[in-house]
Amino acid sequence: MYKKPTIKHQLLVQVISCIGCLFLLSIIEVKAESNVIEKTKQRSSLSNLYLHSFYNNAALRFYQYDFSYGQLAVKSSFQHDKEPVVMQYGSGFLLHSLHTEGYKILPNQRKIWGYATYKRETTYAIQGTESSDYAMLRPYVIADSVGGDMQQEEYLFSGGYAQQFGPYTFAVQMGYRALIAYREVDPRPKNTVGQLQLQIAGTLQLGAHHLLGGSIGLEKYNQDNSLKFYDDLKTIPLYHMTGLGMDYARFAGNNNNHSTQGYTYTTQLSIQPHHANGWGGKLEWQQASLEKVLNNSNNLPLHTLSKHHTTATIFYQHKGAKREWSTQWVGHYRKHTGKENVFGDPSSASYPLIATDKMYGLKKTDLEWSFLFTQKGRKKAIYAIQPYVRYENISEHYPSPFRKSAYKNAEVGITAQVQKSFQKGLLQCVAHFSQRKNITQTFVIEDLSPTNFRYSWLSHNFQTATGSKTQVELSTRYDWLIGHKQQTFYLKATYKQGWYIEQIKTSNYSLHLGITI
Amino acid sequence: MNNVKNLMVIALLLLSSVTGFTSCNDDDNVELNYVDIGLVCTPPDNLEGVKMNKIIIQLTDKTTMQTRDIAFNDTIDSSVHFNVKKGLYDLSLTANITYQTDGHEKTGQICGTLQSIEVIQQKTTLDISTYLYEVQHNFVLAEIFFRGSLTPEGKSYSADKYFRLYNNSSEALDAQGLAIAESEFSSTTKREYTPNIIDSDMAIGALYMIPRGTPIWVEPGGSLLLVDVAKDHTEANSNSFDEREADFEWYDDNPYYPDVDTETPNLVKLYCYTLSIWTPHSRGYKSYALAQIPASVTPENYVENYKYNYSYEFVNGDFHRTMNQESYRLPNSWIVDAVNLSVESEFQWIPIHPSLDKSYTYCGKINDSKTTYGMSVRRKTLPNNFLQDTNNSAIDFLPEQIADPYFKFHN
Repeated sequence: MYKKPTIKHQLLVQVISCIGCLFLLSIIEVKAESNVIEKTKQRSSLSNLYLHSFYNNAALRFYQYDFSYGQLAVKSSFQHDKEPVVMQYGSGFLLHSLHTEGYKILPNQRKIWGYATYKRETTYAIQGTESSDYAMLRPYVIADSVGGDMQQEEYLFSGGYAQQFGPYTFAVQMGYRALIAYREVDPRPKNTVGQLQLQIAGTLQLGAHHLLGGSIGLEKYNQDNSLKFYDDLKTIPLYHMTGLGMDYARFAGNNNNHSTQGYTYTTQLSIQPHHANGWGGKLEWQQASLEKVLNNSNNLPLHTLSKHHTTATIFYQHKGAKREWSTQWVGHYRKHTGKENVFGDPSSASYPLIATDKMYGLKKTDLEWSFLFTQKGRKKAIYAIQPYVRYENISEHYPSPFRKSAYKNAEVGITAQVQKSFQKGLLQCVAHFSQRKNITQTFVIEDLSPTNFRYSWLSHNFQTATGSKTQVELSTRYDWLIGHKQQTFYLKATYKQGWYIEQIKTSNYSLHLGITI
Repeated sequence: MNNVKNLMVIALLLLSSVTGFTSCNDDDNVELNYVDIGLVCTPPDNLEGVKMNKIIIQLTDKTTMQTRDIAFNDTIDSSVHFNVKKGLYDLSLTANITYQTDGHEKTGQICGTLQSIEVIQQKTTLDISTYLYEVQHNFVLAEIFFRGSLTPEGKSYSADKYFRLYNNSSEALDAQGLAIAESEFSSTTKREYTPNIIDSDMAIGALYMIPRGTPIWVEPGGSLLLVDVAKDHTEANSNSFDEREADFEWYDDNPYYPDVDTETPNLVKLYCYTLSIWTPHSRGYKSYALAQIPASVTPENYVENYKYNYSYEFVNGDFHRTMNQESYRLPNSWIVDAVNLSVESEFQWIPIHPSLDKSYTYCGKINDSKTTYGMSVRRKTLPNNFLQDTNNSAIDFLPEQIADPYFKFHN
């Protein structure tokens, strides 16, 4: 039997403790405050979610709500498709999670907030990676030709504190994430992830109606991977993947212990209207560096992945008594560079470094324009509609042997929301529709046979990324007032359907149960 | 508010710059370190007036195991130039040549290899010694079963290992004095051995010879089966073979570890590193040679005259020690065929002269792969009862074949 890591149990105790404390704290403090239905309506509104990225700055969170709230929820989500959209993300999952969050106003212009989540997930039929956090590490993961279902447990904690001093507000926010992923049949990966985040932020009130915000963040990341086979007859080679299906063939085979470590630095600068109409904008720079080392070979550093991400956002908002509208332009630019080390002949298991080549390259640009219109209707109803247009341009390269994958896509979508409060509760319905079309595409991988399993991964992912995609999402939530109208008990059901190329179709169902205060 | 507007203008410009990135050159974040290589070819010692043409250089990048062929069609005296990125390479060269001998111009083909070349300097000159490649029609190692088999209970069984020798010529050949040898050095551990005899001899750890006395004629396309124990192994292991039809078995006569001796004739043991019972390396780390021992060399004078004392530097961290070892040598000129074995995940070098075999074949790409029990390496077939023999095991052999001591190479 696979022995699960004991760290899991320690963390579980911590999670439960944190969740309990946060929620209880929130109940005590929030009792006497404003109507819980109005708070929920505001928090769940499209207009609140529309500019949510601004509140990544911890000091701006001070201004996000002028009320305290707390929430405890359990969520289950299920998806099991015939074929995956992206091989490395699997063909679906069964997810159960416990989630709590609280936001509390303290005396003397102080605010505190917290967030904790425990997730337990089974991901089905993963191919092309045995490492966790594929989106973060790609393409430098360990893989084999078999793959399979993966069990995963994840813990997230985050907390922040902000205080206002005249026109200035200062804040600090910390977060920690731990993840354990494993499989109980061969091949048996065991991945442990630790991620620590720290952010220091500040704002300055400019004139009567604008806030200038700035923050710096540091994140430390570590993932340890080991892979075992209990049945000798099922032992297969392991590959340390590089870019576009290449691998570090020299260390393929049974180099089954490695780790990836790195740092991410984030800087944000923003300006936004506060309780006023007008323009706002944000610039965010993120620089990450992740190094993968082979533990079996004296911690030999194989690759370094450098990731740069710039985000620019501009918006205009107009808030009236009955109607509100906002428009937003968001641009993302990402550049990833993989530096691969080349080693000479070993001398007593010590490999001399003879060259470092910039090999893998990715460039991605996203541009999105969106518009949000909100109308307050009769009988406490709010209607919102948010159309958007998105353009994405992605290019991946590997120079030797030359391989290239590039495409440009355009997507249009619309989201509509209705919020209607009743005497004993609140009904919220959301509908979303989007459609994506490919503009151009290039796929050049001539040195791999189409029957090669790596080619099939690359080809499959490319086809689903460049084929047309249609998505529909329907969601309904109802909050019942309970406990002298101080809390609500809510039930939320969501259904998502996606249509990709030919026979690939995704269906996702999720159910939330929770209490808000 | 003017300040706010100015800030917004700056933000708009920055947003525009994001879109501007899309027009950047796709390749500007890719950077390779290329090196100019000058390859100087030294022709075989006994050839004069050598002119090369149709030169093909095959480079194997040991980091990615990607191979690249570079061809030169011009006639060249001795050197060629090309670019590669910095790295660790194996290099092999083949070229058609014209040369002078006894006042006549002849044509032929030369080959040469370099192993584990570290290409670091911006301008690197490499010297490669070449040898004349001549197709020989002689005995070859047709199949080597070195992994052993697996019992139904999942236990390894090694008494059924075998070699198939094959007459790869157009005439009947006498097998007297043919010997199988196992290399002293393994392909998975590369060291600087002193003295380095690789150009003239193969360092060996075991040598067993077909006895002399009466001719042992093998017809063209015929074969000999050499086994460890010539018995019906299916009685002990239903996954094994009946090897009672074997032609010879290797037998190790010692008082402490009694070997099984059947009625099948024994090979003559000239030398073996072990005082117990020899068996071919189960994981496939060694090289094997088939040699014709000259009639003038008796077992006694072989043991007396072909000893090879060598040393190497053992290093473990700060610990250094010179290790002195003793084994035997087999002159390259006696070797009629050789096959290197290795495992991709462990491979470091070819421990014999590349003119004998310039690559390796395998059973299992990872160390001690249990899925390869019961598998052998087997030479590819050619028309007219011939087997492929270009002294390049990677292409001459089919790896990971279901072992069959009575496999029919031709119908």
